[in-house]
Parts: sequence; structure tokens; C-alpha cells
Amino acid sequence: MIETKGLTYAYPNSAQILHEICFSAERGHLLALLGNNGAGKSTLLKCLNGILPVGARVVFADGADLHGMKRRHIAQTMAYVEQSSEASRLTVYDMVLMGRKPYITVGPTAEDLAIVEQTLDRLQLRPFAMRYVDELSGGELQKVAIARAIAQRPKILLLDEPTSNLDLRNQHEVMALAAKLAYEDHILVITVIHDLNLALRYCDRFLLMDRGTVYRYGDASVITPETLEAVYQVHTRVVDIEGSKTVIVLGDPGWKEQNSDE
Amino acid sequence: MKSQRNHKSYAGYIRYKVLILVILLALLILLALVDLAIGSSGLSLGDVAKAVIGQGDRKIVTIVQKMRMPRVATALVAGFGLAAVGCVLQSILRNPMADASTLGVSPGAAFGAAFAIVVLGSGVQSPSDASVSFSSPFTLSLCAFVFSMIPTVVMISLSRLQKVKPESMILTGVALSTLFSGGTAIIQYFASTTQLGSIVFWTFGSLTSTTMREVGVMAAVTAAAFVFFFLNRWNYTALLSGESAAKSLGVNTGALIVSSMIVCSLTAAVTTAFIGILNFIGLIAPHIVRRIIGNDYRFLLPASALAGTCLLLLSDLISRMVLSPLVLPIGAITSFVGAPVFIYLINRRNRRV
Repeated sequence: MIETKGLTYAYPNSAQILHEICFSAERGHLLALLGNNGAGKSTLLKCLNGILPVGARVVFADGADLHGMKRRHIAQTMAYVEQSSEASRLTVYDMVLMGRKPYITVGPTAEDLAIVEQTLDRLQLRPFAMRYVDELSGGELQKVAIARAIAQRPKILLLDEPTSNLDLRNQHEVMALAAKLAYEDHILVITVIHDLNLALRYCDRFLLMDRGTVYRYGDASVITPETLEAVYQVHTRVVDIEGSKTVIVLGDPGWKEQNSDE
Repeated sequence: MKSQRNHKSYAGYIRYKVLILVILLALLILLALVDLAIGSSGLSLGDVAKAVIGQGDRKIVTIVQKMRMPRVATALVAGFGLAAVGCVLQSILRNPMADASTLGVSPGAAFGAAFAIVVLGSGVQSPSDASVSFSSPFTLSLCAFVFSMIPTVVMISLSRLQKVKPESMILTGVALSTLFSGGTAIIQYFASTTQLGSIVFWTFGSLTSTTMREVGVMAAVTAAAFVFFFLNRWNYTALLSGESAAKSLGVNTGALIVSSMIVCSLTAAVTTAFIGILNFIGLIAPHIVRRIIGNDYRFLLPASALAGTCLLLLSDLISRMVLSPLVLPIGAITSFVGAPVFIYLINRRNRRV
């Protein structure tokens, strides 16, 4: 479980990004962070992980407060995958092994290596294991970064737009993996995502953000044409296709009128 | 079965990297022996190897241990330290072009040396063909050390005031380097011809002006720095994935960057204060080994240090052999060896660090 109480954040010398964010989420859920660009989604993820310093309280299930925790301890609890990972000249195996860093004191143990290999198998990265990360495609690199996060064996996994650089098949593969981690491995996965239908297909919790605040938070029932118009300023229809809620975007409310004027 | 095969190949990859370290160590020993053997006395490698451990002809032992050992030991320690510093700076500043000069150590040291020679009168005393000795080498080294640390102190002070990005640190280093170069030019403008010669000679770099005691000081600082670097080897590897990624892996990035910068500039400043400016060793040694064994700092760090030592020994050999018996300035040779190798490396495959 994670709970934020009045989380507020402003970048140095700039306007406030997050205003009094309060929400809590349990393990075993896949939570989609939704909202326009600049709504504060990525900043919220970084605050939850302590990458950005927060003044407010972020509390974990055991009552531990993010403030009092050492980075190593946070890394054993929570993993974070950036929107675009930086490629360096490391093999895929070594990069995934870096996920064991929070546990390694001198060198990797047999258990660390076993976890790396299980992770490589799970993400079908075995054929790439000895390849250098800077030789991989964007999609492969993203998968390796997720593999590294899984190797951390976190209780909470934070994903910042994990599907943004991926083709259609890889988008579904990554989201299916996130769903498995949440629903089968019983960890809390929080993901920033722009594709509403991808979110509706795999996620079971939705947090709609608007200009640094929580606009709506709950299950799929919070996704309605009204809430989407309030957050994204676009007309939508929410329909049911084969038992799955689907968003059809109709466009900017003023677009048709403007076009017809011309 | 599949799992076992992969584990084997990873174990094989680790063995390969260990083998590279062993080869570099063997090359280092060979180059050190050749460097000790080269000279007018015409010694064989066998004679030199015996003399190093104090056996064989007493005359040869004296030549090797008293006359040549300080120079070779200086090359061993300086090459090791400068390359390790370059390797670490390339991680913490996340820039493949980083080395000790990025922190402004070299221009700071050059200004300090010029200041000592002209203002404090530590100028030239007895020029000869082979070397120039200074009237007050201690003052000279002390000034070079103090001024070479100033840019780092400024950079760290700025980073305490507000969060400074690696790019800003590099640009601050460039600005401070220019400032010190300007200062050196002004001092040179008011210097006499003899003082000017002394300043130029100091900036050439020299492996022959150090005593074994000074080598001992350099070795102690370098060894302590290397232990610090090696303890942080996992952190440096993590930092290559970006600061946010490193933080999420449990690295206290702010403390790591500041403490590493202090240790790097201290090590480079001590080395530069004693031997002058040696370009390219810290820059290209990590580049060469990175191509062979990748960016895993468990191996990259020691391999870079060994490769840096080999490069400096090789440069020393070249400086003595090309126009023998004339000894060319070591700083010029490291640039001559380093620049083409570096251009080749960056053009052959344009990779990120």
C-alpha cells in the first residue's frame, strides 16, 4: 500500500506542479495515471519514489515514511522505469543485474544471478542477454529497463509512459506484463499512460490528473465523456466493445464550428 | 538447461574480462621493464628484472633502483591515477570527453606553477640538456596543487547553492580554465626570459623531476582514491543509466557526485603538481578499454587504470627513443599518442558512454 497526504511539489524557481495530492493504492492493482501533458504525472511518479524531494508525507504499508528511508531501502521497496532509458555499453545481462544493486554489498550472489535469469526468461530477453544495450532498438531497450526494475523485486513498480516508444504489439506486451505483475505477482503498478484504451484494457484503477491536482480517482467508472472532456478538453464517446469499455475521440469541441466557418 | 547455458556464457564473459585485466597487467610489467632497461648502459630485460629485486651486479642495481626507478615509478603511479580519475569523471559528469582537465585541474596547476616561478621566485636554477631543476620545487608543487583545486571548490560551492547539472559543471570548468589561462598569460607577460622558460618547461610535464619520496606521496593518494572509486564501482555503473535511474537503484547521487569530484581533483592535483600537465591519459585509457570490456565499472575501472599506466610508460619510451639521446617532453608525447588514437576511437564508432 502507498498513501500520499497533501503531496505538493514545485521545481526550483518555477510554478507549483503538484497541489495537495492525496490518494492511496493497494498492492495487486494496476493504476493508470492519466491527464494532459504538464498535468504533473511524471513529477508525481518521481515524488513517490523520492527522486524529487517532497515535503509532504508518502507512507508505505508498514508505516514507513519516505522521508526517513535510505535510498537503498526505497530501492528494495519500489522500482522506477523512465520514459526513455539511457543506453550505455553494458550487456543486457549486466543491465538487468543492476536491478539487484540495492541488495548487493560486495558482489552478486548465486540468488542474484538466478533472479536475473528468471527475469530474462520471463521477458523473453534470453537471446539478447549478451548483447550490448546500446545496440538494441528503442522497444528492446524499454523492455530491458523494465526487466531491471522487475529484478529489483519491488512491492511497487512505477512506470513512466512505458508504451510511448513502442509499436502496437510491444505496447500490448508491456501492458500485459504490467497486468501480470499486478494481478498475479500482487505488486502495485502505477503507470503514466496516454492511450486511454490501452489503459482501459489492462488497468483497474484510474487517477485523472488536471493541472497538478487529482480530478477523479477510482475504477473504470471514472472514465466518462464528461470527466475526459474536463481533463483533456476533447469530445469523446465511451462505448462498450466486446465487453470492454472503449473511448472514441470525437475531437476538439470547437473544431467543427471553426472549420465550418472557414 | 537453457538457463544453465546462459549462466555459462555470462561466466565466460566475466572470465574474458578477467583475462583482459591479466593481459594489461602483463603488458604493464613488460613495458616497465623495457622502460627501466632503455638507456645508455645497454641493460637486458633479465638484468633489469634481477636489479628490481636487488639482485645481480651492484652497479646495475644502482642504475636501475636509484636512477631509473623513480621515473618509471612516477609513470606507474601517475598513469594509474590519471586514468582512474578520467574513468570516474566520465561516469559522474556523464560525458565521454571528461578527464581531470574538465575540472580545470591542469590550467589551475599551470597558473599555480607560473605564480610560484614568477611571483614567489621558485624559478629555474640549473638548466641542463636533460632536465631543469627548480630552486624551490616544494613551493612550486604546493602552488600548483592549491590552484588546481580552486576550480573544483568553486564548482562544488555552486552545486551546494543550487542543483547544478553535469553539463553546467563542465561549462563552469571550461570558464574557470579560460580564466586561469588568462591569469597565466598575464604572469607570463611580466616574466623574465628565464622565468618564461621555466614556466614552459613545467607545463611540458616531466617524469624525471620526482624523488621516490614524492612518488610515495602520489602513490598513497592514488591508492586511497582507487579504493574509494572501487567501493563505488556499482554506483558509477548505475549512474550511466541517468541520475533518476541511479536514484531509483538506491544510489545517493548528490553525495556520490560531490565526493567523487573532490577525490578526483585531489588525485589529479597531487599528480599534476609533481609532474606537470599530461594530456589525454585520463581521456583515452577508459575509451580504449571500454570498447573491449564495456561499461561495467567492476572491470572498467581497474582496466582503465592499468591501460593508463601502459600508455604513460609507452609515451615515456617514445620520448626517450625517438631522438635518443635527446629526451622529448612527456606531455607533448602523450598528446601526440593520444590525439590520433582518440580521433580514431570516436570516429570508428560514435557511441554514448
